[in-house]
Parts: sequence; structure tokens; C-alpha cells
Amino acid sequence: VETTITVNGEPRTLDLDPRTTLLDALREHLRLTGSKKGCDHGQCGACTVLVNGLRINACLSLAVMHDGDEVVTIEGLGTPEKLHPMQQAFLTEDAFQCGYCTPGQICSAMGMLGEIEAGLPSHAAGDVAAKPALSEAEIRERMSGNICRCSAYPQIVEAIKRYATEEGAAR
Amino acid sequence: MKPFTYERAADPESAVKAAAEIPGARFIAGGTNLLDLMKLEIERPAHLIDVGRLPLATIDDTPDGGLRIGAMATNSRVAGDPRVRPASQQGVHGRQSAATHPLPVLLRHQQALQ
Repeated sequence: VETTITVNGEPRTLDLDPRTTLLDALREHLRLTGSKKGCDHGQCGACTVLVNGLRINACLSLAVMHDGDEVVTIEGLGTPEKLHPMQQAFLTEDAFQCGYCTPGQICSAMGMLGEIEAGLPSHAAGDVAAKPALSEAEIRERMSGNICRCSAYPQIVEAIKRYATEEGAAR
Repeated sequence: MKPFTYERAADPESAVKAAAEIPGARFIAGGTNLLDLMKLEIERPAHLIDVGRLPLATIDDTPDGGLRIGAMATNSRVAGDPRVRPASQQGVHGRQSAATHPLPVLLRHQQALQ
């Protein structure tokens, strides 16, 4: 099935077996191996990418379902030469050990901040009708779909807080 | 995963028609449940009808003061709706988020209105 997906700003047309997941299309067909395959069942979050600005598990989505969509992967956020500020915050706060979950963590963090910006409630909120705050409890709850087996969670929280503070100050 | 054919439904009518006519056809919207089961070959559809872009995601007020939630409205969208959120504060689970349990929340909302 012919499918055109805008990946990191560039339209890419692929002829795909309908079984191809978005993750496999990115990794195997487009050779964008930043997005990782951990569990391949939507439980670990290593494959998290942004689709039309929202975070999803790329392993639980068929590529053909994304014809016309805009996908952003870790490669689209930053490059080794020009890191995204969230990537820099992860480095500064030492927010990983092995790094396997990190691209998913960073994409998820970007999506998560968008959800907070949009005022979407979470389980951690005391008052779900109020505008959510970027508290540690909120970050931990909202990032709970991204597992880190090295347990870098405290530093991941610090990195996200650092990014939010610095970006808030830069505005 | 077993092979299958795929189509994107143009409108609800053609989606229903395709589902009735094609043996082994299943609807797919997001894929979170179905794809997981297809990978394990618990689900083995011969044909997938993608209903993900059908315009059925609206949350509308009904004349009797309730809400009509479209079949394609996501849980998070329902939970984040300003009309749903105050209702989710009511009842015994004061701290429970609508994102976790949208259905009881909506039922409570309905009861509160009756």
C-alpha cells in the first residue's frame, strides 16, 4: 500500500505491506533508528514518537494508518551537532545510563509538556478541573508510559524540570 | 502477524458496508488493543477497515442536558473536556482522574443530571 508520511518535515513515500508498523517503517524502511523497539507491545514507551504533535507508541500503529500525517522522531528534534534543548537537559542532568529508552523519553517529554500546556488532566491532579502544574508528581505520572530499566527516573524528572524552567525563562 | 488487506473508510456507511460484505473484516481506529492481539495472532483479521479519520470524535450537548460522545473521541479528549471534568470531581472517588475511568465518571455525570 502506497503511503506518504511527512517525517521530520520531509514527505516520504513508501510502498508498504499493511502489516508494517509505524516503528518498523521508520527504522527498517527509512533507516531512522533513533526510535527504539523495546517490547513491541506498547508497554515500554521506547518507540514513542510525535504524530501531528501528539505522542504515540509507534509500535502499536500501522504505518498505512498515517498516510498524510506528520511524524517527528528524535532525529527531527535535534542532531549531534545541534542538540534540542531537551536533549541538552538530559545530558546536563545525567538522565540516562544505557540510553536505550532515551529517544522515547525525550519525545514523550515533549508531547507531555504539550498536554500540560493544553490543560489536559492527569491522575496525579488534586483538582482535575484546574490547570495542571508541572510538579514532580505530575511529571512522574505523565511519564509513566516510558520505562527506564536503568532507573534514571529522578534525573529524567530533573531534566524535564530544567528544560521547562529554561524554556519558560527564554520566552 | 497474519497478512491482511487494508482500506481507509471514506464514510460510516461504506465502513459498515465493507464490514458486512468482507469475511473476517475488522474495524481499526487507534490500534492499541487490536494490533497487540494481532501480533500475538490471537486476532487474525483478513481485512482491516480504518475508521480512525471518520468525523465521529465530537462531544455534543444533548437537549436533556447530557453529552453525546462520538465513538472516535479518545479517552484523554473526553477526560479533558471542560464539561466532563467538573463531573469527574463528584462522587466517591474525589481524586480519581477521568483519564483513568471515563465511563464511571460519565455515568455519574448522567446520574447527577437525572
